Amino acid sequence: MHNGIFVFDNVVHMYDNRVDNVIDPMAMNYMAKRFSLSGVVDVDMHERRATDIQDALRFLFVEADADMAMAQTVPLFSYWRKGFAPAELQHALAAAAPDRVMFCGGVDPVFQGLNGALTEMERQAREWNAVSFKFYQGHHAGLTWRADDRRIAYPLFERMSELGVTVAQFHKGIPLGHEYVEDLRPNDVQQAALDFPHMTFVLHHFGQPFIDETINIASRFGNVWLSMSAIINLFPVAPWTVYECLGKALRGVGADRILWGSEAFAYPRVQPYIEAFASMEMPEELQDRYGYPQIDLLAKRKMLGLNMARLIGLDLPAKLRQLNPAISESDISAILGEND
Amino acid sequence: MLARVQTILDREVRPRLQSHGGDVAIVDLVERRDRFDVSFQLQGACRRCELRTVTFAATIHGNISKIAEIGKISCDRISMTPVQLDRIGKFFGEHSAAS
Repeated sequence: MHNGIFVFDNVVHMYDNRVDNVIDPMAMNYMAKRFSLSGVVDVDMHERRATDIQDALRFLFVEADADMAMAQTVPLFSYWRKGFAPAELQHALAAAAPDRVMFCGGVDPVFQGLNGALTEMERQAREWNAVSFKFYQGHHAGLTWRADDRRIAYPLFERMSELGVTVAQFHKGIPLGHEYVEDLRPNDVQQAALDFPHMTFVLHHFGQPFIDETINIASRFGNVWLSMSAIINLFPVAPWTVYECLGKALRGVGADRILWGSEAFAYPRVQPYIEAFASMEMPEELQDRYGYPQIDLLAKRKMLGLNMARLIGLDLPAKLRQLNPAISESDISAILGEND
Repeated sequence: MLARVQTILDREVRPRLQSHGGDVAIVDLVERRDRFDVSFQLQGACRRCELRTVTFAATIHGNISKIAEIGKISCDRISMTPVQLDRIGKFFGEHSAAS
């Protein structure tokens, strides 16, 4: 809880770059060389790392004011056997703090095959209580799939619906390696959003560099939401870039369908970002020039946590009582923004 | 000095970057009077990452600048002004080693 604001982090990742999970240790190293001072090329540059569960819980709930978080699988299999952020590690984090962390599964129809992806999807939902699924469509060497593909994507959405999981999340934009950037455009979500109106499609990273298209789509499709993951991380370096992105999103989509996402644990110090966003004001010059709305307290409440709670159908008053049995009804009312 | 910089990298910086499929290497260390200028190169997933400026400023610069004798800190393909670095330092406050 940050100054009476409920904070539900839409996206944290437990990464796994240990030896047994990395297929090609040089695959992500685009230069394929490490230049040492001696000029020696060191091809064994990577020690292998994975995010530690206790570290993750500390980053979120001890050193930062997050109340809840969603651990999202990264089903990228070009360079990793079990994925960049494997489902099992995300589930392990959720299992370690079941009151605070929710598990977002992840499958991929290209690497697992459609039937394999459907089977794994069902397993992650039934055994690990996945409340959402994350998809990545840009893979190495041009391997890709589209969200509006009736033969590949729609069976995934249909199976999700059968399982009662209606939140599909997509990494859009921001290629991590040599994926084709056009495979990460948001455009394919439009038809899927029309054909699965009971589902919600969350587009991450504002689709950077397809920010205008992503915001445009979310502005016209009520079941397309945005996550500010990676965008907010730019704030200390390029605050005006963040104002610009947020301003466009707030002007086009509004505060009801934008989610807070810290992208931890690429940047495990979550608290400075929470504090920055909670105190953020849209510069008057940008309001005057472009009509970007001021970010008022209720908008911040929604984006930092209320929207995420609503998205997954969380009984927030009950959750608040669970996390803090001493909480008063007036405090709950305030947290819900009923007094703003 | 090289050993001191490398020790901080190995202890405070590289584990963070490696958990994300990246890394950083020292490419140059030059003594200029009583200061040492050091330059780095991001490796692996960090090299083309959209957030590499954050990684450099918050993680690499934030840690290496703690060495009093260090002067200029630079990184291949990253340009940052003193204003930016000052803002980033204030942003992360006590957590200047932010990632």
